[in-house]
Amino acid sequence: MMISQIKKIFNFVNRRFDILICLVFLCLPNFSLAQNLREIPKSKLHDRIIQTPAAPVFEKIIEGIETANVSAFAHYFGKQVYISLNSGERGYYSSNQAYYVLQNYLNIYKPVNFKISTRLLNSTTPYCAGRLVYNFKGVRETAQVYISLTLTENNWEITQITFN
Amino acid sequence: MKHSFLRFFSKDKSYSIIILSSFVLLFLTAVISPRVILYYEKNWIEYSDSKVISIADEITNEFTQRELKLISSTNSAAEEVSQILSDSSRVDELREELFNILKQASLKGDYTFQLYKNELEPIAWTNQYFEFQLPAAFFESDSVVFIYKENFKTSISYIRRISDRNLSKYFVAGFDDIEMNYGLRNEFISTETLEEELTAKYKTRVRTDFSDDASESLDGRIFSKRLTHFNGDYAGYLYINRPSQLAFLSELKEVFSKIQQLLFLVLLGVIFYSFIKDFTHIKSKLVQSAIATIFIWLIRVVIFYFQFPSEFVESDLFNPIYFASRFGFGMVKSPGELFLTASAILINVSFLFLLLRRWMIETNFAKTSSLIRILFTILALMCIVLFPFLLRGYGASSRSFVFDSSLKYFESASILPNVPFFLMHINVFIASISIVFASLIILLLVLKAFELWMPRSNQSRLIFFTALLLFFSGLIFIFIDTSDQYSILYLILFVLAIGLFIKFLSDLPVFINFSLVIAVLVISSLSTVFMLFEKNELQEKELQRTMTFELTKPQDQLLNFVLNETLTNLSNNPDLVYALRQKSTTPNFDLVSYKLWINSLLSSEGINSVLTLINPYGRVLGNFGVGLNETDYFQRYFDPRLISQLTIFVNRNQYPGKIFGVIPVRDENKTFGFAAITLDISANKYDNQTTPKIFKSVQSERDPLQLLPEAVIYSFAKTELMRLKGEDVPEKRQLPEEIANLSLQNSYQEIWKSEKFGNKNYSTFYFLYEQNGLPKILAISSEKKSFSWYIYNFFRLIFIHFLISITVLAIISCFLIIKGYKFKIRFKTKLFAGLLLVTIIPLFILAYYNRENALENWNQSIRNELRKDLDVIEVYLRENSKDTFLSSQAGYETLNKSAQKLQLDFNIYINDKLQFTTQKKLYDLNFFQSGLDASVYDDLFLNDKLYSYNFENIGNYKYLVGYKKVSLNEGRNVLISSPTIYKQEKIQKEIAQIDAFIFGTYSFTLILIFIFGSFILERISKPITDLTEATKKVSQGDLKIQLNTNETGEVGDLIDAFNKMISDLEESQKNLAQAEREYAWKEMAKQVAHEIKNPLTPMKLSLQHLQVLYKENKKEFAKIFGKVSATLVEQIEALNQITNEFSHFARMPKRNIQRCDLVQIIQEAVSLFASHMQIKFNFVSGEKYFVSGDKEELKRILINLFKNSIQADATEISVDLFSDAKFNFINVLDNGAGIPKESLDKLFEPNFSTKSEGMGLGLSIIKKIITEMDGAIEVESEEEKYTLIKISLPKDISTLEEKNLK
Repeated sequence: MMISQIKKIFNFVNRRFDILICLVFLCLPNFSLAQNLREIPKSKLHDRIIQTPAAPVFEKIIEGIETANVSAFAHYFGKQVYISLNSGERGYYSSNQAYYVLQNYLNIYKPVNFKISTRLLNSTTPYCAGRLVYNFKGVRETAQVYISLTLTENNWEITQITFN
Repeated sequence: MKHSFLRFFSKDKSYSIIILSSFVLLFLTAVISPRVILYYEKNWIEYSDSKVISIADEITNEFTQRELKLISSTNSAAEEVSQILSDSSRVDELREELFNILKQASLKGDYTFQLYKNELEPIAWTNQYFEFQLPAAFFESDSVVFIYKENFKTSISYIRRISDRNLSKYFVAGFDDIEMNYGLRNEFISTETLEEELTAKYKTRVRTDFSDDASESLDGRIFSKRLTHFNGDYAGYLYINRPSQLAFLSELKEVFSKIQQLLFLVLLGVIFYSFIKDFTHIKSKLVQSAIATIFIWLIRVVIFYFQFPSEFVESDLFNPIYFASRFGFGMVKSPGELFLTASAILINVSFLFLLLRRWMIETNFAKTSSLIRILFTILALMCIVLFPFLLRGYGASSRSFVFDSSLKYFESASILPNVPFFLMHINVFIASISIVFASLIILLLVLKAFELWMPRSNQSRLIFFTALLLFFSGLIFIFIDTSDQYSILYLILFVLAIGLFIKFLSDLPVFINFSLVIAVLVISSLSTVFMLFEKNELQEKELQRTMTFELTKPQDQLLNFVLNETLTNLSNNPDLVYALRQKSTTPNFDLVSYKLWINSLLSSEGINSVLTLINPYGRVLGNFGVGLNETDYFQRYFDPRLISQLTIFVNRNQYPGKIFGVIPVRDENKTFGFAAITLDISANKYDNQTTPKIFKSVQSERDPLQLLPEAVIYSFAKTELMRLKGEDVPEKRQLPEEIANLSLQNSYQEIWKSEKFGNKNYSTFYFLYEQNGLPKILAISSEKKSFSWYIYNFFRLIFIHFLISITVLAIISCFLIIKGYKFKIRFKTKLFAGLLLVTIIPLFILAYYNRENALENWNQSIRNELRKDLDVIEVYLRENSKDTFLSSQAGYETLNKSAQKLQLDFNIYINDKLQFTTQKKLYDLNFFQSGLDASVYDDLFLNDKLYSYNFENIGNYKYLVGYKKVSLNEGRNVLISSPTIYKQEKIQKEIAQIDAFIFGTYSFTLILIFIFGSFILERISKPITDLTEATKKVSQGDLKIQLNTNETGEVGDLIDAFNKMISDLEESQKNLAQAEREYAWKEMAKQVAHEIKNPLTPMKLSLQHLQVLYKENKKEFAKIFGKVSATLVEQIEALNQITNEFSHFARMPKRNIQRCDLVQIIQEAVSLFASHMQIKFNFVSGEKYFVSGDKEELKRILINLFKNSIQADATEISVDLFSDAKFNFINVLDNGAGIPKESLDKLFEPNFSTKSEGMGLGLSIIKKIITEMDGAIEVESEEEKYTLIKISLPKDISTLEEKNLK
């Protein structure tokens, strides 16, 4: 009798298999919009600053700007970069956008020379500032440049670039 | 391909001409461009000279024309005034008319006019009244033209005295503004200076100087020309930089390069177009799909390589600030490039889908080998693995559309605020459509694999299992992949939608129609909405984090940098040096400070600051700033003796949170003054700045608060609340316990938490960090989206997709109409369109009316609010005013404090003169005009109203100002005004909310109309649809059909009449068939009897003769016996033939209706005659032609025709096969004896024959068969020359029911 009962159940499941499957996957939870309580402990910031110097990053940025080659330092862009250009573009841009915004700018305002006047390296937000000489439609002009970095998970990220 | 290319050109001359022309032009540009460049290099000096001279002439001509036009308008205004003012004693009575005259005159050219009596008494004016100094020359003549310059405006001006002697004290002044120079460039004001306008126009720097002491430039690189008025008097100087040779030649080379690129693209396009016709001849679908894919991407890559059209057209559509991604080597680096790439993907994928669908419909999978099945299985497995990657790619793309774009898809209440926004919506939509098509391809392939292995299974079950398989594949991928590009919910809904769609597709008889297209669009639209909602939520969370990091980032380095750089630039600023060196005239140093501040990092970085200018002796000359109230430091504490270089200092006791910087302004080692800056370094970034955005000189300043303007921000030091920013949230709140108990063990911690304040739910990001050794917590809360938000944005997106879809469908429909396609619009569709027209038009009118009404009510409420403000000011002034409050410094200070207390800005006028304003700085700078607007003066002084409201503007920025006449104590009458400029952002937000509400409501109504309308119309049109279907079936021979209906009224009567008609038709057809059969049998019997009699007669005679000979035992018996036997055999054979023909005619074999390949049938029929050496067959098969019929019957038809031709002594038979949209045509042409003209009409009658043998039934049988196939047959012939049989058979007959011959 037990076996016949099991057989009946098996037959029932077999016949209703597709309906059961529907019920199963319709009841699956939606994980996409849940909020999380999440702690993300980080190591001491100061130690990390010492371990990861900012100077080489600035060197790459300076070289990239001088040669109008944003690819040289594009991998340092943070998730959101504040860019302010004297051509009018200003705002927070993603790293992808920042690449093209800057590249377009340097293609039009062709760098001739870039000299750094101020540099602060040993800080949680190091920066460098200088003067860029560029050629715009045959006219030589200058712009003040300000670049600042932030340390994020042992990597320096560019958070602001200003060409004023 | 090569042959077709050459053949193509020999056929189509227009394309040949285009190609050849392009080649020639390409060659010419390659040859001409270096020569042109060389020419300009050699003759550069002459060219640049002539260029600057022509620019100068053009500018001076335009200047003169403007002057003359102004003079003419002013003169005619003066004449009209003169006529009105004939009696000068009635001036006051006629003022309203005078105002109107000037207003009408100003409209002619956007001029400003003022009418004066004497120098000081304004009588009437347009716009806002302003005071100006009459030029000295006016006192010596009746008219003078001059350049009027004030702080923010430069105008061509003309003053004309009224010519009437009695009115000679009156004069009219006209102003034509050349330049409005606020120095501001932001989202509200985007006015160009004259210099910028001319520089942009002529592509070289052009500058004007209208000052009295302007002179020719000594710089050889600059061309100067003296500007004069129309009468030759000095106006100023024009300076034009000679164009740079390098820049000019680079630009020229670029132009030539672009022309060549364009020509090359045209060439490529034409060549590609020429191959399209060959493309359709390719039989293999696989080859077709491969070639199509290669071509599409080749074109895209070439277009990208030539940077077309981004380098050719300057447009925001190609600006990466709206969207940019580094995916695809730059092929999606702007909204425009993304559109091209997404379109290429869509064309590719949709083409593959259509090919696959067509192939699946046309291919008979009933007899597939095991190898094919195995191959299909492998393909299906690959598809199952590929499917989740596809979804992942779509999720990643959607994320990029949101995260890599500065466009906020849900922030603006406007449906389509700008073109890049609309284009991005199109791009997102296109991506969704591509994914739907790609998923359909995958599903179809997997389903086909199932069908091959289980051909007898129920299709719905197979679709279900296929969908389930894909779902599990996607689910497993979610757990393996950590990037979370799509959610389980999305996977479920998407697979469900695609599965249902496949079910719908399997019931579709044709491979594509509009229903399919609309179904794809609907699924894509819903998919887009879901993805955008999901990614937007992720982005908001990311913005919360970014905002937090920006707000907690130490600003000291940036502030130090800004301070240092700004002061360093000011120390040798030529404009500042010039202003400080002035001795004879005293410049307006507040204005100078304003201009310096606006153009400095202080403004662009949005820092609360004040810029102060100081003379060498320490006296403050002027200042300008924003967001700071303490501007007196330098007046109190500054000692110039202590400053010899850039100096930074603080005064924490007196001015906490402030930092000061000073630098000497020097020229040639002499100090002419000092520039000083006060910076606010306190961490009060959460407070809104006191000055509205309009006064900022940036498009979007560096203000982290703007990342999420509605966010609520709490700042805690340890657990104590320090600051709060936000509305409608508790001012006092405690930290949640679990947060408060956390200790700052590490540098910083991030925590997400859901919270509730009041009735609203928030998602809060807590950031624990350390500042100056103290633990702090910053909490940024973003309100969770409500149901109404989702509904509103859902409808908004659906509406946008609807607009896109309708536009594309309309374009496709126009294209099809041009190609000659005839649309079949169903009755239900017409009804639906009519219903929509009848409902949408009134709905839009109602929506428009409601909006106008709502805006009017809202305008009224703003006016009421203004009125309340004015009443409050009035009450306060009455209670606190004293005699001297408008004439002493103490009085002004009291009024300023009142304004701060009331938190209102206001002005006080006595008569029409401004006496007090809370924004003194801006009025002193002439940023605002101190005179009353003409319409306000008209309301309050001429029409004696108590209140007046007027829209005033700065650039494109409009704001409402309220005015009220007030009587103060001691009988003093003043006028007070209060502007809404400082509340304008809130007002704009409220207008947007009204729009959002109206749009949401009416969209919802529209959706309901769609849904209910569809349902109701389905019910109404169903009887008509059933009737149509039944009629079709009747035409195909089904007379047993009867419609069931419960309808009453005309439709019910129609259906009943139809049923009766069909029954009667069936009955009469039966009777007719019976009668025909009887007749046919009678005729046949007659014929058969006649034919049978023929051979019977000689048979009888022969036998009788034989009998006689046998009886008479004649010698000839043996001889005669042979002859008679032969005759008998012959006649029996004839009888046999007759009976064969008869039975063949009478018998109707069972037909095997199937899809027949005509090419194959013709080839087989031809091959039967392959051994016939005397006959040459011409038949070239190309495309495939299919009909629905009995293959053997069709073959017999052809065999019969070939036999007839052979019997007509033809030596060559040509078979031609072709088709049009609906029919296939077979033409059989022979060079036989032909058919006499008189016989042509009877050719298809039974028993008619031109041959000596045969029953004459062949062609009648052929005609019968063809007619039953709904085809037709015709004959053309010329005796001794040819006979042409033309057969037409319908294409793709899907159903051809058996007709039983009875």
